[in-house]
Amino acid sequence: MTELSSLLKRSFEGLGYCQGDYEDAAAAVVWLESRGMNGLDIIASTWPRLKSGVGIEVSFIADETGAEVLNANDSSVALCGRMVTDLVCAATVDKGYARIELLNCHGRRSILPSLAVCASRGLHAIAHWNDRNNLYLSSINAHESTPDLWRIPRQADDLSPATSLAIVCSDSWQPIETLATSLAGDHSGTRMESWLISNDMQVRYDSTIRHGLRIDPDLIRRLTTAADTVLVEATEQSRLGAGES
Amino acid sequence: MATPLPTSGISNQRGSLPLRPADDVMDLERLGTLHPYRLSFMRILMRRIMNERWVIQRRMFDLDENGYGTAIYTIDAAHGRFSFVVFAHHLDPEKRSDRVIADQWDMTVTLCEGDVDEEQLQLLRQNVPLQEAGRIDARNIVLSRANKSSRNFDYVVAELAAGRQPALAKIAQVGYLYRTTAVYGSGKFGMADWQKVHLMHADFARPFAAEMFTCFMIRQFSLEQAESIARARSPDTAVPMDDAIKRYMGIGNATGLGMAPYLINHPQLISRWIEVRETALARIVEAGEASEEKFELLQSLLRKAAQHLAEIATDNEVQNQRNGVTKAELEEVSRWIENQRSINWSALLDKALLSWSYETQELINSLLTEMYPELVDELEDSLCVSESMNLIPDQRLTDIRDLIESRYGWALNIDFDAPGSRDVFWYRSLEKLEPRLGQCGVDPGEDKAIKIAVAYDVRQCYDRVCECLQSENGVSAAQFAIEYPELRSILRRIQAMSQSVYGDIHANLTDTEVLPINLLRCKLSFFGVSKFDPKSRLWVRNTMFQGAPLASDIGSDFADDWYFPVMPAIDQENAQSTCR
Repeated sequence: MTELSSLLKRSFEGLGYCQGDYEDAAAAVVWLESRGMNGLDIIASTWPRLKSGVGIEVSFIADETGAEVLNANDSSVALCGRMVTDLVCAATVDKGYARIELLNCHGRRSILPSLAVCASRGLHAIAHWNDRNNLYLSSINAHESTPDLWRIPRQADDLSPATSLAIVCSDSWQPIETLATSLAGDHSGTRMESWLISNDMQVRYDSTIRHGLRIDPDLIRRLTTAADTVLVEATEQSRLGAGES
Repeated sequence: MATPLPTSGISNQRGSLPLRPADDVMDLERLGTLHPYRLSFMRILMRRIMNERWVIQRRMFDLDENGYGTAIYTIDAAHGRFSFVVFAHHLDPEKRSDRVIADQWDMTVTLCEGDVDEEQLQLLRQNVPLQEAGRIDARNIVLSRANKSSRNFDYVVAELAAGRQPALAKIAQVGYLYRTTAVYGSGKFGMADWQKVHLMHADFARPFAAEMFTCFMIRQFSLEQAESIARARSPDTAVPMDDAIKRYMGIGNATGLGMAPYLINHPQLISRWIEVRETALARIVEAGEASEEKFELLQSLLRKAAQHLAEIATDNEVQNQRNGVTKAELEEVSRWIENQRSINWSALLDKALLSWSYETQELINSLLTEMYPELVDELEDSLCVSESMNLIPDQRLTDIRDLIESRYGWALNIDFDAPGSRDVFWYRSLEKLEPRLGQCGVDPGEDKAIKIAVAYDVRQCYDRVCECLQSENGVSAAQFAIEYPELRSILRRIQAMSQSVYGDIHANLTDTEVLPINLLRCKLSFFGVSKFDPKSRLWVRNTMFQGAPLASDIGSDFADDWYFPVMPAIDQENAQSTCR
């Protein structure tokens, strides 16, 4: 994990992202990958966009309802999820409850590690998003280390765009539970189809600690190519800049 | 108003102890004068090995007459079994290099969990000799390599083969047979991550314990290999090395810039190491009884330290001069103590601060820790820290401004417009990612500089915060970080480090006068190395485990007094005849 984290940081740095962004992205991907949540798949599937999307510009959008809405401008949540979650947490500390909607983002599963950070701050949190067929719901109680993740068939009247992500944070569990129940709709009170719950993730994490990770060599090559761009060509002169000639 | 002294955050029954101020302790020049002390990692490791009576056995020693081949040692530690695997190779002398960019070595090694079967040995044989170019797996904890000391190895083998012991005076010049040039752990090249070592291998669940143990085993193998070659070369006359001389043989080490970024990238850990050291000192000042017996003990330790300094052989003029000054000052310390009718340790430290160099002050501090194991040793459980740099999202800009002013005054005091203050950059070379220094405007790679300029980044953040405060007061850290994403990393560092006792190292690493060797020496002192031999401002040779017990000493009485090693007082003539 340490090795993968270093490689990812250098890769994102090589793609032109700033320090805070590449630190967050590496941490998010390693968090997911080490828990069986395929963080590297997110990187692989969005690689062309990551390569071209140098510099993330998350911007506020005026919303007449007073809710906080941000435009991720086609950025990966691996890169901006932490920053947005920090904003939700700050508002929650002020008001007890806050909701932010992030538009035009991808790699939304990468929000999970940020939810864990919310919980480490003593806050309860939930994030939800959808694709064409399913709604994804991830929630965590304050002070827990790993969120649950649920996949539920999307309701017919759900018109939310498939590129947005909503994050809600509260200083009490009740509003989070209410929201989860409401989002689950017909599935509320019955067994929701679970993808991975926190216990499963913890088991995968323990296995990663023991045995390490296996990574697709082709992806390693792509990451390494990007990472190598932050390295400087060696010359006789440069060798003098490190010690013995 | 005077800044209050930091207090130790390490839980203890003595309440919060006032510690030395960060402006003194974290100054890079002072950090560059630290000496090993009782809680240095090698010392802690040796105490564990000896007190828990680890069993170290040779399982395979398949070397030819030149000492080339494979060796495996089995280690039964208190909580588990490990294997130390060595591949000893022929190496042309002209290929022998201390540089990390070398690609061949006399010896390559790995420390593995459990036993090593034939299949795994084959895998290791294919990969360990390649070092950075190979791949190993999470069963491996440490990967390292070492080269022979060209001055010592052949001489020692020849002497042993001829039935003689190597001359101590010669060994004193270079106190080792091999020199390590890199010791890798923490998940590199497929190895076990620190999380695994910490959770699953209690024997090595302290900072750099597995890495230090690997060096200890390299030393052990180097001694056995030399004896083996001598025996093969001259079976009729060869003698084993005298145990006292063996103990005086350490393991050499060459450390370069690669170690420096670690200190900047792990500020919470470094702050904790310093806090532990300072807490030990504070406990002694507060509760260490300064009896007649303790004064006598200190006098003898001062004499030993002075002799140790006198025996250091280095070509580095600056270091020689420093050693000479320190040795002379230690004699002054001794005389000053002698002339006091009654003093306490606080008075000694006050006197040191006023009268003697940083080197001497820190050496006195190290010696004091040796005198009170009952106050110091339990602190070894406090050396780990969980590192995380999380933003405090709701903190207001006014509080952040105040925080920077109170914790980073040292950075704000640097004039970044002054000539030379931003003339150096650090970068990673394509050659094994080796960190190197470049001159701005001269060397290529400035646009790829490593993010290591903490002081300058703090200044940038502070200026931007002050600018924002001119228009709005209620902005939170999270809002600021969205507005200025390029400052998010330094902002969370500032916030996170404000919760540590000592904070960041006080240095401008982009100044043309920066001495990276001070960073190296700081870290090496925590490892427990001695005999610093700077080769330039960028790299240093040193000696590890000199004077430490041997594997064969485990089970014997252990005095734990091998620090500041000095030449053993043995009758070499007598030793020759005994060995024969």
